[in-house]
Amino acid sequence: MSASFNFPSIYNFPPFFTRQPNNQVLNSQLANWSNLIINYCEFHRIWVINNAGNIKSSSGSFDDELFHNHKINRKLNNEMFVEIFNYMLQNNLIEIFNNDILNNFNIANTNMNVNKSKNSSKVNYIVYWKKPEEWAQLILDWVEKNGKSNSILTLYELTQNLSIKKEPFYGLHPFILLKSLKILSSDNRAKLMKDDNGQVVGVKIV
Amino acid sequence: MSALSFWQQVDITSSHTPVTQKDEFIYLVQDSIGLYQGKAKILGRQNGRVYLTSSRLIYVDNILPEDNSLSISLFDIDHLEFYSGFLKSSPKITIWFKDHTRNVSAPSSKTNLSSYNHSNLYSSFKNKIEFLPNQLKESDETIWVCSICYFANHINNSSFNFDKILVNDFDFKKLPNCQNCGIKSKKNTIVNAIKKFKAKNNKNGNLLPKNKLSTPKQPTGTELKEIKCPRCTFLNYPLMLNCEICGEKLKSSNISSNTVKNYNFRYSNINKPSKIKIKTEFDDGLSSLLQKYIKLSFRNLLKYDDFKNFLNKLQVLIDEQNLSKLMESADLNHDVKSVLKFDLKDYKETSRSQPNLGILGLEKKQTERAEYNVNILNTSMSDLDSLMKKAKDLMVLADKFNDYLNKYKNTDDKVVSNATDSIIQSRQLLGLNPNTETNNISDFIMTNNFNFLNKLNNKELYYNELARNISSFLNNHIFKSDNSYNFNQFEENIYSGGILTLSDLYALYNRSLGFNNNLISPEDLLEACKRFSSLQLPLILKEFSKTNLLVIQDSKMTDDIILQNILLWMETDYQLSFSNNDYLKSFDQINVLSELYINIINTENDFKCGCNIQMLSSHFKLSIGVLEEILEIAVNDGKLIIDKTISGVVYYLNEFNNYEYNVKA
Repeated sequence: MSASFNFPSIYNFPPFFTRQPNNQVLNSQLANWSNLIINYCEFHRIWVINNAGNIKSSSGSFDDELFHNHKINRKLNNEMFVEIFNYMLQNNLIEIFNNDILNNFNIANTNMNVNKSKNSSKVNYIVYWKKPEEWAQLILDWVEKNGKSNSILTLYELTQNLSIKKEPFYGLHPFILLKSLKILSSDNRAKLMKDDNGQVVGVKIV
Repeated sequence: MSALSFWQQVDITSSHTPVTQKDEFIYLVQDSIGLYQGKAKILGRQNGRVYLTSSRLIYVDNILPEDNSLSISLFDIDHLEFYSGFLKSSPKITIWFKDHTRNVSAPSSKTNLSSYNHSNLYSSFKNKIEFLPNQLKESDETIWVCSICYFANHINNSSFNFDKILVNDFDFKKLPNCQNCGIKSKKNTIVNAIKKFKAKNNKNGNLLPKNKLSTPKQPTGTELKEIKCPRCTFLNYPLMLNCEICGEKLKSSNISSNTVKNYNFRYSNINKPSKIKIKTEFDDGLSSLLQKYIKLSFRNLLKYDDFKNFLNKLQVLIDEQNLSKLMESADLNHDVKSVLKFDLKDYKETSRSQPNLGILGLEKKQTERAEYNVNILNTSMSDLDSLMKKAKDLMVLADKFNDYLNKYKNTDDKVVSNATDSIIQSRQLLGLNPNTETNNISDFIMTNNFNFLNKLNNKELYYNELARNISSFLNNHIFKSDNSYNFNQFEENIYSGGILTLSDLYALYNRSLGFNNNLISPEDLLEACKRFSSLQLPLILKEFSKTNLLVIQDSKMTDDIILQNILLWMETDYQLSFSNNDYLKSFDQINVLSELYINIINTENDFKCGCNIQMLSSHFKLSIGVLEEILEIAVNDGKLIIDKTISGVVYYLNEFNNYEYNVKA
């Protein structure tokens, strides 16, 4: 784990960890939580979070500091997790991770350890600290800037290649990548290359 | 049509009960009473309650209790007559007043009428006033002053023929010698002395022209004038009865009725007859009568027994009152017994006798059986009553014993400490406070002054009276910080925040009744509390909508006001106490959490710190159940936010809505 995240002051406010009965108050509480989660995930480049608040990421495993403030000894309970994730789902800030979509990918090259457990009680969420449209735009910009348009790129090249290490979408989760590419293809800016099994292996961006 | 002088003003509490004087007990109360003066109804006094106390009969109006309430002194009552009612007319008690004009001399009679009052201070003064004219009248000695040594000599009137001296037909050798120096008196001195004496005797009470000449003219203002001694001319303090220098009796006329009235006002607030305005329906027909009377009309009487009881008790109390008056003036032996007893049998079942047949007969049997049971219940507790009356003596004894034990405290003897503990424990069992002075105990017992009422007899009246009693109990002892009354079972005034759950009230009230008084049941309490609004008492019975918790509120302290106070306190003073670390000192329930709060407050000042329900409860002196309700409402309204942990809920001011999210990069 690299530099530590600067938590906002509300993180140290004990009632922040308790579900507030008043709806208006609850909404602002949830808004603050989703802001905190997005910021935290962006800082640590976290793509996936599960419904119990566990985080696995490329940069190693995290302790539970986001949802458990050790300093004031407060921890989110399950009820609050449900509230927060429902709120974020409604606001399109997260999306339920769906294995079926990933099956279409060739993920042989990715070193991400996505939790594939069949346990239905565990739901993984993809965190959109940038919207898929924004990711798509970033990729498009990069392709145009580097003269890669009209050439076929593998998914690995787009996310894992050392040459793009400084780009924001380095290490982009395949789920988000596919989403973004689908957006591009629906705008006729990209053409998805599929292998014999129908899995996407490459893309040609025009 | 004017008010009789027997009517006296009554002080009414905010709970619309009369303020009782020292050593005054309420024995009976009866509602739906109308007052008559003479034969006419008194307007505005036709619907009220009458309290029969040990010294007064107090009428408290149901409609305008502050303005229309009256009382009469039992001592003024000469005798009673009763009328048991017929068809539509209600049973009535006629109260005949004593005719004071008959036995009291003219100048002081007016004062006497308005001065029957039972405060000790005043009555002692009054006795002196009464004593004065008698002494002057009865003095049969003429005083002459020796011209040599100025000694005041007394000559017995009977041994002297004064008339003879005046007409010079007298043997001057028989003139008396001065008792001090032995010099024979001169004729002139004696004649002057005799003239003075005669003038005194002629006029007796009325202002004497000669007296007026001999003393400087008295302005008739209300201020007190010094009295010039007729013998030595020393100016005495107005209320002196004898001259301070020579001991000469001062003139009764000098104590003008004005002075006495002033004295009255200074020492008692009860005698303000001028304030009472009485309007009767028509002429009361009293002006022609020497002896005045009033009537109490018992309207809507549920049971004829109530009327009988009232009449009986009233008669007993009047007898007692007269007896005690006689005792006071030492006209009777101490162990004298009253022979004349008011006989209840005389008027039992006079006009309202019912047949013993049919449904009426069955009903009658039923009521008789109920009465019998009531009697058994009441009498069975009488032993406890008498024990309670002995409680004062017991307390004194216990205190003495305690003092004795305290001497041996230093020896660290376990036996001693055990004994002390058991004294305290047994006193707590009796409901008596070990910390208060012994003379407070009578107050303690006085508080429960309505257990004379019987619930079975008249439910409506019982509940109304219970409600009033609860109201005065709460207002005098719980909601107001009254230090003279602290509950040993609780911290002092722990519930003075103006709101109380019914269960707390139930416990407090019954505990205050002590163990011997008819304790109330929860149902009684609820019934009584439901009457607060209809009786216009300064209390509110409120049900919290969420949990159906029933509370009693001081009408001045609604939960909105309490909540505002809480919010204000949390915003200001509480935060200050936190930053000064007073918090640690002021609350003893320090746990790990509170230390954590302090850490937070010291590191980040973005948020105001929260407080838990115990802190609020101890600061606002509210019970936790009530606070929970108020706080829950506040939380649901978004005024407060909560932090639920395993160690309880902590309440914070709502700072979410205004919070601006920013991450320090």
